[in-house]
Amino acid sequence: MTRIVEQSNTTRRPRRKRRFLKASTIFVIVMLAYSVLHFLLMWVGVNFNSILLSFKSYNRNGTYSWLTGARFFENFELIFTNIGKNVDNYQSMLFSSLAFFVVSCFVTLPISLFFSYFIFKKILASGFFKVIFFLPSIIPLIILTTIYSITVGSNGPVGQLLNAMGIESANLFLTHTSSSWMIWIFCVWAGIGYDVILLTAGMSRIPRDILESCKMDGVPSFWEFIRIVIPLTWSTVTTLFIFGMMSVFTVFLQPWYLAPKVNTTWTIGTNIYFASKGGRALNAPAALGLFYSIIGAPIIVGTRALLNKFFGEVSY
Amino acid sequence: MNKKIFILPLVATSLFLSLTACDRTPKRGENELYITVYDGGYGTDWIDQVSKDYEAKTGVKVVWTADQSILDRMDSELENPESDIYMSHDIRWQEYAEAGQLEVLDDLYESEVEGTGKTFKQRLCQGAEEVSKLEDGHYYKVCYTQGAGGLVYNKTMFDQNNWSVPQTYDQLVALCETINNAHIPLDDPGQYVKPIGWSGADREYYWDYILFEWWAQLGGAEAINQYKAYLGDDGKYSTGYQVYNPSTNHEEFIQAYQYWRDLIVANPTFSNTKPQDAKLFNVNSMFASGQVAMIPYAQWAKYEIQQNSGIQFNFDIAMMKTPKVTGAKGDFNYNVGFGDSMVIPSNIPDSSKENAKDFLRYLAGKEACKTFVDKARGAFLAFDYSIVDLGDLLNDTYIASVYSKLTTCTNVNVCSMNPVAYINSASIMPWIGNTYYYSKAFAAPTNDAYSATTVGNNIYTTAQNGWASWVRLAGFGPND
Repeated sequence: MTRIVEQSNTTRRPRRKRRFLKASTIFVIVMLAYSVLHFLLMWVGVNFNSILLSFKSYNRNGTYSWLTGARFFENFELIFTNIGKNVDNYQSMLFSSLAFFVVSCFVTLPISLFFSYFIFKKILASGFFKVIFFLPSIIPLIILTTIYSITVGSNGPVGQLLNAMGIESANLFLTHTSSSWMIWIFCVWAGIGYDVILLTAGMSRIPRDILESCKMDGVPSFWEFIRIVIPLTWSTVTTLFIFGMMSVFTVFLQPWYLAPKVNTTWTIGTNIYFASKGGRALNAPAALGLFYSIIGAPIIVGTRALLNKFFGEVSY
Repeated sequence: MNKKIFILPLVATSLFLSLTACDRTPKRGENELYITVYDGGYGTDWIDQVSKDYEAKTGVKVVWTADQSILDRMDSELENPESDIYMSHDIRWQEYAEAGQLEVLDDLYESEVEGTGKTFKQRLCQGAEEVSKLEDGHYYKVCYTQGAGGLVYNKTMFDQNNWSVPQTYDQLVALCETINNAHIPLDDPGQYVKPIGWSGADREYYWDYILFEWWAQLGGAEAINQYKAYLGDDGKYSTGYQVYNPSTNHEEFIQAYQYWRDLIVANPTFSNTKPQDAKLFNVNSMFASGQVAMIPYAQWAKYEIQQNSGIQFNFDIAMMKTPKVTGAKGDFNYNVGFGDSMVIPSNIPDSSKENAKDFLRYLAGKEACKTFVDKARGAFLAFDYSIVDLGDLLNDTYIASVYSKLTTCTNVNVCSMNPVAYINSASIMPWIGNTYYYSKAFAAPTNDAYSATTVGNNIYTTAQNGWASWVRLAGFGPND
């Protein structure tokens, strides 16, 4: 009898419909949709199209045709032909680009590490310095370069100081050497803030116990920085180092904004930008971009693997 | 359940708004016309007035927009046009026309312009017709303005000091010395009026307007025309780099550069202090406040200098004919901005196309031509002004001087119809690779890298090295 009642109750209970998607899943999809679409369109799509373009030729009616047969690598042949004919130009372009690897990885990053440590140790007005360092990172590049060039120009405060020291500030952006230095200094100044924010965030995760233990053991600040802080934030340092390496390809507007008259300071990116600007024959710059990516990607990936071997995986 | 109620409408609304945001095309009425003009040195008073006049005459409502970023958006604009007419410099109209994105204007060119007794084609100024059609023989654009460039001077200052407008290069050099020696004091102690103010920081290319006229004086219009054909001595595209040969085809260009060096680099006191670092705003302020007597500029000088500096002229200005160098073959005017264009997209309704063509036809009429000169303060549309009565506008010394330059000099321009040139327009130009030497030469007067000989050789070498790829990018073979 009891069994019958139970069965009867079971049959009367309304069966819950199986939901195709949970509400939380819909929420996640909606929240991610824009970002994913943006990534697919603006990164995957653009880069994929760029790769395809490097195997096409431009028709004057605004269309592109596939290169076939013996002409398949024509755009790449053109790169080597141009390099052969313009060795000096390509050398200066490569030098200008590789200089940003040195500037980003061996100047900006160590300085940032140093300042981050001070901020992490909560020196006087550390919060203020944090904002000051980060300020250039949230100002558009065109404004930042304009402020910089006016400041060091002949009527700017730094320019007048340089004039008083016998340096002709009016000519700073007119010669290759002085322009290069001014661009590098700008990149260090503008780049520190971004690095400092990431590094201080990484350092703030270091457990207090470890630092207190160091203090009790009487470890000087310098060795605490070298032997404790750097290894424990190594993953952040590695990431920033890789970003620095990629600046060889990603820095392109700074030389143009700061020293438009000195095209020997232009990087690979600047040259690709100008080859693409003002015309529709995008096959040549696309091939140039792919050519440098093929060279650069393994180096960057290899460096990352190498850097990861310096210190063991740390979790805390 | 509640969440579902909220999320689904939210998603639907977002999608709907996103999709509606994509459609920026105005819903055009048959009696409406949409125009986008580049917001530059001609200002917007002229388009506002002409639009009102046209609306009063035809009943077609004109909605105009002035936009400085139009060139950056031109590709997408022509895909999905917001306007029926675009007016700007540097529109790559040949490429758009070849891609079928521009309306063919043959019927406009053959139609009669009301009140003139002439067809639209006959109303064009000298040289405008041949740079408005492609090899297929069809017209796709209308030239926007006919420019005049040169040294603009403070006429009142000249009159007060009895300085004559120089007719020759030597007189120009002598005038600069006279102005310096006059030591006309300024408000700042120890400062006095300088002969020439120029901006090396962002407008050094304004010197082109004088240098190109010296080039034309030395080589004649044929030297310019031979250059802008960009064909080799054998008539081929593939050997077009030969036009840059400093020993033959480009010789006069390099000579003109030498004249500039002799005037400016050899005489640093003729210029404002540190011109290589001077911004346009500073130099315009100097000229507007009477600190310099002359300034290299183009037809938009009167509007732009006052607008840019915020100082209204309390003196008369004028543009001089470029002083003649030894052996000059006549007076020449370099048509600054002759490549500026007015185009109609092909992807708009037929009724809008007709309205747009009618508006361009109206612009070629006497009334609109005069209004443009008046409101743009001395700039001229690219139409024949010989039948336009400018009346009391010619009492304005600046307008009269520009008019005189346009009508009494031989007009030349560097607009090329060679595909190698227009496909590679960022690289191929008199200063190849868009590399200027004015500021650098002034900053380093003894540096041989900026001497006329070295610059000439560098330009030629750059052209030789880059030509094969530029020819290839234009769709030609190595032996074409």
